[in-house]
This record gives sequence, C-alpha cells and structure tokens, in this order.
Amino acid sequence: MAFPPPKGPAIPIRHSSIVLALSLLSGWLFNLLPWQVDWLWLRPDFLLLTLVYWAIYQPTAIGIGAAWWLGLLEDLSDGAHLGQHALGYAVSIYILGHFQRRLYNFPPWQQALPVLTFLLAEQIIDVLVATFLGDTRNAPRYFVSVLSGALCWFPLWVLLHRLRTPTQPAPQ
Amino acid sequence: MAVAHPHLALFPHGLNAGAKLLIYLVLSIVLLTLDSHYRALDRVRGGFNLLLVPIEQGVQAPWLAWRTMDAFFVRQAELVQENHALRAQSIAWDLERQHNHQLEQENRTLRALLGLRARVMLPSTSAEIIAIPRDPWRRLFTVDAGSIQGIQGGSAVIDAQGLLGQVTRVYPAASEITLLTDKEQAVPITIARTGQHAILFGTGSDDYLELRYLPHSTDIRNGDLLVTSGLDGLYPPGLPVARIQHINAGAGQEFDNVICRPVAAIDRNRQVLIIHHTPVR
Repeated sequence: MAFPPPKGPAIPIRHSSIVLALSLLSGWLFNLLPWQVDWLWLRPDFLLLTLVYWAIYQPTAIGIGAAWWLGLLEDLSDGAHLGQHALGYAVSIYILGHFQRRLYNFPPWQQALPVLTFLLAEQIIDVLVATFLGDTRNAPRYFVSVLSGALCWFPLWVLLHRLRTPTQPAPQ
Repeated sequence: MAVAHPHLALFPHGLNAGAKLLIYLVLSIVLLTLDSHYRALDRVRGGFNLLLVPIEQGVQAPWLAWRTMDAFFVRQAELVQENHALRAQSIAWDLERQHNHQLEQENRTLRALLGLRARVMLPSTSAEIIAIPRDPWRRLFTVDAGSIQGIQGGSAVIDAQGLLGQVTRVYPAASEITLLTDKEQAVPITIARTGQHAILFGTGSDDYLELRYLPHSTDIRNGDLLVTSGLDGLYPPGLPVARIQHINAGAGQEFDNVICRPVAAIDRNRQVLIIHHTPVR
C-alpha cells in the first residue's frame, strides 16, 4: 500500500529553529527589561506573544509542553509563584491548538482578536491562581496589558515573518 | 512492508492535547503547592537567581550606557549651579551636624542617667534596583545584594528620605524587597508629634497608605509625621515613614479613615540602603 504524494503546496513541517529559539529568548529578555513603575501595568507579555506566534506557525515545534516550561522560566525570573505563568501559558496554547489550522490562514490583523483571547485566558488563569494563593489585587487595570499585547501582535508578526526563513516549495 | 511507514505509527502525534494539558495542570498544582505552602523550592529559586542576575544586568546595560552618555554632556552652567547648591547645603548640614553632636552627647548622658540602652548607628549595605517584576499589583522589586553581602530576610530598606519597605526573600546575589505600599504590608508607627502608636497599612497604590483603627478622639492633624515605633523588633525606631494627608472622620464610621503619603520616593529610586537586621530585645 503506497501513499500518493500530496497535491498542492505542502506546509513545511519544521524550519528556522535558530530563529525560533532566538526569538523566544529575546521575548523573555524583553520581559526582563526595567520599566517605569507608572507604565508597568501597560507592559505586554512578549514571551507569550512570541510563543503564540510559533504555536500558530510551527505547531510541531511549540506545543503545550514548551509553553509550560517557558512559563516556568517566566515564573522563576518574575518572582511569581512557581507554576502560575506555566499553567496560564499551557492553557492558552491548549486553547490555541483548537484554532491553529484556521489561524494559520488568517492575515495578521485578523489574528489579533483571537490572540487577544489567548492573552486574556492566560491573564485570567494568572489572577485565579494568585487569588487562590491569597494575593489580593485590583484586577481591572491589570487586564489592560492584554489589550496592549494585542496591539503589539501586528508589528511582532511582521518582524517574525520576515526573520523566518521562507522556504517556498517548488511548483510541481 | 518491513519498514514501518512514518504515517502508520499508532500514536503519530504523541498524547492528545487534552491529556497533555491534564498532566501539566497536575504538575502546576503540585509545584504551586510545594512552592507557596511549603516553600520547598526556595533553593531552586536561589540557584536560578544566581544565573539570572548577570542577565538582568546585561539587559539593562544599553539603557545605563545611554544614561551615562547623557550625564557626560551636562552643560558647564548646570554643573556650576549644582556645585553652588551643594556647597550651601553642605554648610547648612555642617551647622546641623554640630548641633546634633551636642544633642547626641546630651542624649547619651540622659540615657545613661535613666539606665536605658544606648542607641547605636545602624550598620547598612547599599544596593541597586536591578529588576521590577512584570506583575504590577505586587509592590516589590529586586536589588543586587543578597546573602553573600550579608543581607537577611526581614531587614528594613530605606532611601534618603525614609522607610521604603522590607526584604522578603533573599537569594545568594540578590534579594526581593516588598514596598510598604504593598497590600500585605503593615508597619507599626508612632505619630512623632504626640507619641500615639498606630499601625500603617499599604493599599496597593504607590501614592497613599492607610492608618486604620484610630478612634475619633485621637489627636491627629494633616501634615503629622509618622515614624517607625520599633515595637515590632524588625524596623529600627525613628525612621520617617509617611505624612498624614487627609483625615476622613465620617460620623457613621467606627474609626477614622486616615490617608497618608509615604515620605520615601517610592517609585523614583535606583539606590536603596538595607539596614542590617538586629533583633531588638
């Protein structure tokens, strides 16, 4: 029993793993940047945004597992409860998994709204975990970083799409 | 048929997403419990932090370099002006110092007469803020001095004006400081004018603190200075903490609602001073 070769352009399974690793690293470094305290609540989560990008375009490389480990890294560097961001990232990427095929074909401006939902999911998990562990905080203002994150999506998409080595499949 | 086709594997994509999520959910809950209820992972955090400190400093390097450049091109006139101001202040402080010297001697004699313990100058370490966590609702930051420099948990942290907060977590080369504006923080204070004891609570906002449980009959006025009382044995006595800004004496309330403004420059600092923890009593 032989499989016929697939027709049409094939989705490249895996490429540009160096760009992938470097972009995730710089996403994390951006999160480490010192911000003015007055603007702290506006700060988007660059690591999660980069993660979402790769979960859409490289679903075989970046999945729930990678998201969880990177979330743990964020927890360690952020002084948060260990597992707080990890859980948020994992849930966010899990939800993304259900829409990955559709998102792959959307233009970036149309992706921004779903991306906002993923960021929101992460933030909700974050606040829930903190509430269960006894942190009290005024949540409403805290959710503004979801909006600023969604605004950052388009420039980030353009940047990463340019960096990603374009491997066009040869016409059959 | 000898070679298995890659697409005919029984589980070509590994576990399904739901199962994976479940595993990671359980893992997260275990970690969260271990970390926040038992504090079992503080060593892991400490080890990681040792690696993190140079990275954090590296990330800040461009910004710091720009600031140094900026400072290099200050105008001559500004320098002269600043020099004059500093000279004037130096003279004023010299006078004050002489006066203080006198007072200190007098105080020492009086304390000796009363049989009280002599107050000593507090040993301290200066540190620099290297990171502010991304979570804006927890009022804390990381500084570049840790257990290697002899920092201990619970020590008071001050700036040039007054009390900033407390060391809440110590790593080998860094430590985490919770500001007194954090919602979980409470500082025992006395009102400098009257000697009345009270407790000052953080509100989670940078601009104000709250003085609770003061009955309506208490003698307080706007502008009163609040200093640490030292009754908790953690903060040394006499550090300026806040000034009373607004008193809400609603008739329907059981206690006054007193809003205070922190004296220290809560969010305008880079250098802080950590006072070495010397348990009183």
